[in-house]
Amino acid sequence: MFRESIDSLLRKYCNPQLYEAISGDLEELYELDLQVQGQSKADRRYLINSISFLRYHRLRKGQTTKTLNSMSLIKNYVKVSWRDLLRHKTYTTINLMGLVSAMTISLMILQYVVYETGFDRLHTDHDRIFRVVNDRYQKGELVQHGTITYPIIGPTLAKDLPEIEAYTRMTFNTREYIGYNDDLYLTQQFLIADEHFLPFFSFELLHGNDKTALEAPFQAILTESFARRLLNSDDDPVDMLGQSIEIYGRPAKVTGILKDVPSQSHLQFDMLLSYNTFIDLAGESADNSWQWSDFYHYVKLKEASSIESLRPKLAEFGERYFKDGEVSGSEEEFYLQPLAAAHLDPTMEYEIGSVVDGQIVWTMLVIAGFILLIAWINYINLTTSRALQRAKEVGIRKLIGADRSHVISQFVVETLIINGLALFASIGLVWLLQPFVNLLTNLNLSLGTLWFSQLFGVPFVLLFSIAFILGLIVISLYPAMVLARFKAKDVIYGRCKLMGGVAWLRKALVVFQFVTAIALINGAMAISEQVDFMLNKEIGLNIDNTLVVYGPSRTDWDSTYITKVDRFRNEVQRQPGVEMVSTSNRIAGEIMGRIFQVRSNGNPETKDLTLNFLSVDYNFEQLYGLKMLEGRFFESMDYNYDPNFIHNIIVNETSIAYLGFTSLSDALGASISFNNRDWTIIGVVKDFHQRTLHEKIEPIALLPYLGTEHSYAIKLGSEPNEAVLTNINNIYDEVFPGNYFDYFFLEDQYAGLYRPELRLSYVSKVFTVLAIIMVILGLYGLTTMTLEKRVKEIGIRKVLGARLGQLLLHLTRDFAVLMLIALLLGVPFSLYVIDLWKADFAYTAQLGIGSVALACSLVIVFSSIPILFQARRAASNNPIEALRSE
Amino acid sequence: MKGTNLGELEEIVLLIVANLYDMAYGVAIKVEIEEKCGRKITISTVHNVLQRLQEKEFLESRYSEPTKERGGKRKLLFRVTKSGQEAMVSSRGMREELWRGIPELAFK
Repeated sequence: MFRESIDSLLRKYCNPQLYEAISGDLEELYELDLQVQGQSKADRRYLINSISFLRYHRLRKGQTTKTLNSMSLIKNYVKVSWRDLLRHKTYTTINLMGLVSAMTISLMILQYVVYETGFDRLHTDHDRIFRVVNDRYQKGELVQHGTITYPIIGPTLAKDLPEIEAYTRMTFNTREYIGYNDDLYLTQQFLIADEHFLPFFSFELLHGNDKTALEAPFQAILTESFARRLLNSDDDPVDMLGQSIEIYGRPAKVTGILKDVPSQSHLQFDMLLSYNTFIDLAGESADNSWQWSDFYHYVKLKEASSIESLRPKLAEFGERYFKDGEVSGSEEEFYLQPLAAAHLDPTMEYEIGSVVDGQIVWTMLVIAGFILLIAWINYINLTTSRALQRAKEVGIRKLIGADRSHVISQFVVETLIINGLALFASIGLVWLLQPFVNLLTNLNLSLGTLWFSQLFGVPFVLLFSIAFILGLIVISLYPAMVLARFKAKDVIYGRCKLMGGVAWLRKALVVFQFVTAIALINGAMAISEQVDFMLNKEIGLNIDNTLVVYGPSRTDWDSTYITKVDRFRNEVQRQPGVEMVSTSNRIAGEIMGRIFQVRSNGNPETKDLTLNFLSVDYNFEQLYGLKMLEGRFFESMDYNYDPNFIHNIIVNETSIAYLGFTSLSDALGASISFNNRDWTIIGVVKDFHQRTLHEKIEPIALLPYLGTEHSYAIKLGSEPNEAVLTNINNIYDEVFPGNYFDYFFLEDQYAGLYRPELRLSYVSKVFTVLAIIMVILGLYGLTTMTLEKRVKEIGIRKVLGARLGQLLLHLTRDFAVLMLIALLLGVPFSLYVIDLWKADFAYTAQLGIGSVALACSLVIVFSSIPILFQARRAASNNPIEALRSE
Repeated sequence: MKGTNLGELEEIVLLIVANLYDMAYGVAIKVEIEEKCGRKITISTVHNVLQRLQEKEFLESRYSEPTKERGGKRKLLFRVTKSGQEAMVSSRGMREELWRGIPELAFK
């Protein structure tokens, strides 16, 4: 049995002239071995001997004509395929259009996915770098899941855990003005980083010493382009080296010039300031506090150590230093987040870097795959449904002497041609459309991104080629095998027809396309409804026509500041077109700071509570349209230069139960304590959404603090005009000299909070339209082909008296059944996926039955158009035309 | 064709085929080489060399009558051709020429 099967293989692949000699020799050797060595050894040697004939490459060489022949055959395949593509222009156009648009959009999405998932690979050892993140619990409840921790964490971890090779700590500052040569220059973001920063990461230092450049206080490193901005020239910014700049009102020395930070880095900055500067300004607690949490730590593990083995040690670390929440007010748990995940995890609070939602990125990849799949299914369906047309060709080929494998390879060649054409066209199209896409996404993508990137640690090009070729093999082999089934004699007798399995598979594929289209359109509907809901929901804050002017951070905080605020407020309010001015540390939409270890004095069981806080002036209520439920809002007497004289506080509705009060009036006048002082609740304000609808409304306290960094919200009576802006600017310059007047519109900023959703909504609409167009194209092609086969049937039916309506019904019934099945599968599936997506939002729009019905009927209507159109055309033909030829 | 030079193994196989006269086929040649030259050789190598020699037209082959041995399969028998004979002779002549050219002192 064993030898027989080897022998039959040999017969198949060996040069027939030599087969008998080889087979005989193998047999004879086997018999020899059998006598000397026994059965099993003889079997083994037989196998080895036969395998060794494999290298006997000359065996096949007897038929030299074979190779020549297949070359000319391939030429013939190409020629015939080309002619066929040219002859059936509709079919070719449909196929190419579908493939090109699917490949173009897939390539674009791939660019995006590869770009977003390729962040922070610029650092050598990036796979060993982790960020220290932490969870804070109070009474077993998670109160903060964030990236900020205490300044002492990095050094302590490095001391306690031998697995850590290096660490660096930092904090950041946004929107700060740097003085140079009597001018002010805005930095959007700079890092205050310790001396380990440069050796730790791989940012490229062009000038300066990476060991000492961040060592002493008041040392700064500028990026190339920021240095050029200060120099106001395009020359080598080396001239800035050693210069003195002014920061926080003090001189600092430029000790290095850094190459601009690459866009694929989650840390973005114009400038690095030495950490010792910060210790110098803020005191020792910036170095060793266990309470002040504004600091970011990155650690690099030693090569051999694994993150798993560190997990228990980190848990133990949190318990040892923060036991029972006595140190910081919370029980703390520490984790290491891989550097590669930093850019893709949107759940972390108080982010330092740029972040996108990794789930959305991966979803995009999946959708890209589905769109390509739809296009390829179109290809399969169109090719197989055209099989009858090609039957004669196949028959003749077989008659002349082609066997199955020849016919298969002919159709494989055809698939390669059409897909190759499509790929080239879409690469060209991506290249052409790139500028628009980049404008739209605000990213700098290029085909180069794809060429040089890796995905899952594998070069992207390799991965893509493998996936693409696998796809091509599947989609080329199947139709080719269907076509190759025709038998020569059947074709000659005109008896050919397709085997049953084909139609069945084609129907399944059509259903799959419908399901995808339904899921996409439902998804797009849900996303756009949710976005509308979020943008239009009554958030409890009035943000219309509101201008926000950045606070005069360069003005000193002193006893006169309160009068300056009053002066600015009054003078601006006196301008025509200005309704009101209010100042607060955070404006609508911005993340709030937190107060820990809050106690409600009347309710002793409440301790270690956490409140979010906003520092506001007395106009805040009116300007944003807050509603007081109980008590009063702040008045000017609540404010004081000396914080020790401030003890009134206003809380929101949600805080009442949280603080342990049973009713609003119960809370009024009650005393709570934090920051080692007692505070009196003088009012309760109705809940409002300070943050996006992703987040639940949290307990919020309003405090009557003012500050030089607090922004000014200016409510305008109408659309802003040049004159009002100039007037406000003049007043600002007069009241707060030495500051930069800079502003934005609150509505823009607030809408910006939903930018990811808006972008997703936009992209999903594009996907949906594209998917539906492709489904329509596919159906159009498919119905054309199927109806062509039924021309005679239709003719006979008409002759026998069928009316147009009856014919239409008859012809479209098959598709209607498929569509119904698709609806039954697609609707529950898409509702399920939408629910998963909505879990990310605290407040969601109810997806109405109406919208689902609308979405589904859109799919049905759009896909019915080509079917009905074709069916009508076929049904209104003169039956004589159809039947005459027989 | 790569000229008419003989490789070492090719020469041995040619000699063995000539030795076995009319009984030269794969297994016999393999056994003979293993006995006479004391080296192991696989059957596929033997076939490979035979095929090469046939392409150089130093060997010709024919199938024998079928027998009951070898599962009823015929043997492919080889015989040295005229040009094979010439190649062997010239190879031998070349060797002898070279031997003669060795100065007596060389091996002392």
